[in-house]
Amino acid sequence: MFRIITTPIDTVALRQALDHPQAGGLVIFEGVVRNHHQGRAVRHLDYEGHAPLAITQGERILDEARNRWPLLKALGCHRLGHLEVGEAAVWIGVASAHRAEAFAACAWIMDAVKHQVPVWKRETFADGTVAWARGEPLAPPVPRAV
Amino acid sequence: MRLTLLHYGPLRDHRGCVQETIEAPVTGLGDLYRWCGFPLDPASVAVAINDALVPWDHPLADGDTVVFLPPVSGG
Repeated sequence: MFRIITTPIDTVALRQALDHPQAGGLVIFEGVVRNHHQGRAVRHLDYEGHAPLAITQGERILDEARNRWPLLKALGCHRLGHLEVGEAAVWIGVASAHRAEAFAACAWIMDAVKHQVPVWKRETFADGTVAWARGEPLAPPVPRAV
Repeated sequence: MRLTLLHYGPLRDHRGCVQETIEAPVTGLGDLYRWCGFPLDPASVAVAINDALVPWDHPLADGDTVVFLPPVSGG
């Protein structure tokens, strides 16, 4: 399940959704708004995204992670809209029987989300200037590992 | 050809709107991109028709919804 939402990410509910009796390891990545970017003080961020395609791409990434590692759960969520420093913009969580695959899959999913999900970040700096983050070209869909 | 365009990020700033319906004599996606006058190199831009990613040589059909996707910066 990959969600695009415009309200604060409910990290407690998402953590509970990872529960699985066969799981021996849960790895969660929470991407939060930091107060600086390349040496400049950041006041806040605004995210926008093409939600239908973002969900499709996010689901495709989670499917591919399940194909690459023996995961019991793989969940993702990206928030859009206005975010203040300290708020979570993205949340990735995986559950597996052992920790190694959970660490590997969570890191891989987050990297893939950054390159393959159509979301754009606009930074407002402390001096009042506003700029879209440089970003990277949207990568083609991930190939099947097998 | 009648098309609906959705705009995001720096391309939305360029067109000055989130969504527009246009009637334009365009023959393909590259032609449409030039018609929009976008400043970004199209090599850095992906494109979706009706919410599915497509290659730049994918044909356009009357009534399509087209999104040009500038470099992404989620997370």
